[in-house]
Amino acid sequence: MTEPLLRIKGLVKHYPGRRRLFGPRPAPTRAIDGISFDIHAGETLGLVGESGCGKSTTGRAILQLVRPTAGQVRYRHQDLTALPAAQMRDLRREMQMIFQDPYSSLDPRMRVADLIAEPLDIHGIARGPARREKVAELLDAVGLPASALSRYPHEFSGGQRQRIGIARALALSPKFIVADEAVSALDVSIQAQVINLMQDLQDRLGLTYLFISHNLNVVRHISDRVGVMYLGQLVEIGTSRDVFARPLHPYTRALIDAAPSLNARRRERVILQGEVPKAGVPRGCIFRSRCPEARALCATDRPQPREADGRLVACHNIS
Amino acid sequence: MSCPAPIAALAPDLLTIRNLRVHFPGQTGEVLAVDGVDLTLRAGEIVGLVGESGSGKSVTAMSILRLVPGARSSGQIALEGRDLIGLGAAEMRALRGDRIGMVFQNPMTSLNPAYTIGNQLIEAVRLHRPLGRGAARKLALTRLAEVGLTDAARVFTSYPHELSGGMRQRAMIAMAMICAPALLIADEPTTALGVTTQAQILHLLDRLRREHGTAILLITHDLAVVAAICDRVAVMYAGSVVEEAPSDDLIDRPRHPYTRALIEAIPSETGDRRRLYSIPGAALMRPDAQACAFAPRCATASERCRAARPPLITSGARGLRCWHPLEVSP
Repeated sequence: MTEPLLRIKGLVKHYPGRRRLFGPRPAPTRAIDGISFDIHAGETLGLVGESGCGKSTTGRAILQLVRPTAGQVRYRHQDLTALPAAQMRDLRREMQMIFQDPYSSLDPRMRVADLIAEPLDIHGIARGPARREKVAELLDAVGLPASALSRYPHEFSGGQRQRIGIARALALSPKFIVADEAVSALDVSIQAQVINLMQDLQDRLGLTYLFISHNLNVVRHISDRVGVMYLGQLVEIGTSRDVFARPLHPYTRALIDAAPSLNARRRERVILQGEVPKAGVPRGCIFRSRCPEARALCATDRPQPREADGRLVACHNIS
Repeated sequence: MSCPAPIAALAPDLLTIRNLRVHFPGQTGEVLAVDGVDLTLRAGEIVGLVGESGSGKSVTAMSILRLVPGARSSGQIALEGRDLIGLGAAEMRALRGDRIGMVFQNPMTSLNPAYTIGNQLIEAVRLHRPLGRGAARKLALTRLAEVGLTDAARVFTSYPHELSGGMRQRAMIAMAMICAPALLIADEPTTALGVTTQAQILHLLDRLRREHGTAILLITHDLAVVAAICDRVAVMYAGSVVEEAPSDDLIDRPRHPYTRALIEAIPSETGDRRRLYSIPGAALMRPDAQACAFAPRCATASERCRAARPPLITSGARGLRCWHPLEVSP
């Protein structure tokens, strides 16, 4: 297999506990606790998990929008975590982000033409007629009419605003895009339009996506491979087809079983008891407190990701 | 997860809504948020009210509670035979929290952050029941245990911020159920929750309606949530119910083009990378009252659809507002 576009190795992001006036410093919050995976050029890697599992932090840590506590993010033979800020800024042209909320990520006082041109201006790429041409091209690529140029964000619906966000992300001709809950705030019919658009753009421009979402059906639809996160760790990663058809990790199974579905209605579900704990644990398996199959070993040894059935699974009961 | 509809089908009508219209004053004239909604709920039944943003589903629900400030409503809303639209403010207040319970998407906006869960529950009971503090406390603890809060005594003395999102939603359901209401209105009760917590809460709602015979009006944008627990479902578009049917019928055999589009826009579980079906355009804020509101986005719309608004025709358990219903294979 060819060298992956991105190789994430042992990525960690800990946030220090807030110091109280008296008493010991609390333990750090382990937002991401040592995860490793590859992203191949041209693929869509889905990242799923419930709120607080660290999937958004992972996306941000890869782009160096938050500085990782430890670990490496290798992109084309360079470790992004060790790169000086100026070089990182140049590289950022190649890696962009699409956010969940197209309402709060667009400056309400800027016209669409300027919003889309902003990345071009910041990186000093195009001016004058070239700038206008590029903006028109981007607008066309995301399926917005030319009349949109002189209008403001509030004049658009949620789906149209997300198209503006996508045009901004595409402005610098990136290779890699992190889409963080990019369609989660949209109505189903609009969500379908935006997903179709993202797939068309990928086919046309050869983009690579890290698609972060809590919506399993959407991730299953758009992703070639999928990683499942729980409490800052990657518990399973494999092809979408394998993971959804035959989930191996007990958490993946519980997650898929809990997701409401049109096809499997009113089935007897195995409902996972309890809730996601507030923080990760320093030792043992992070899922053991809710796992129906936990045994003594799970409390003492952290399971390492191991190859099983064509994918990686971090569970002592899978061999 | 739940039994099929027949039990509820024999139950008496609990809530009937007839030709509900809700207007809001706007800068450029009135906006018709709800345009002729008809809906019936029987005791013990879970009915889903589904639609996209702006379809009028929440305004319909809030109109039942008469909690739509500034709006002008007309039509009929009857609960247990009493007309709610003509009811005085004090009588309406007595009904809310007693015969009608409410659960919202974000429990933090409904719970008072300055009082413990226990104090809020006791207040809710004593507003409607002549109970002493001790008896009210006992009832509150019973309800907290009923909604699956295993450590009810601890939750009772906790402040809302000390609980997790799932626990807060359970506490709010306990408060909504405190007087064992005949009707529970749940507006996107699981939208803010994680997948595994959502499954727990849906399961809980289903259990509560069995134990108390409470009818539930579940407002949601998610047809899959409907599929999980609703007996019947009404689909709203631009302020009107366009189709109504038992949930399985509606999902397996939709007859309105909008319903079918909604179902087909959901990524399938076979996970193939086909293009998703998407509805062109977006819903209009002020559709033409003389035409079918969905006509501008409908693939099968004809001259007739643009010239006259189809009426809601009911036949058996199904209702439909369309001039050209989709054929249903038997």
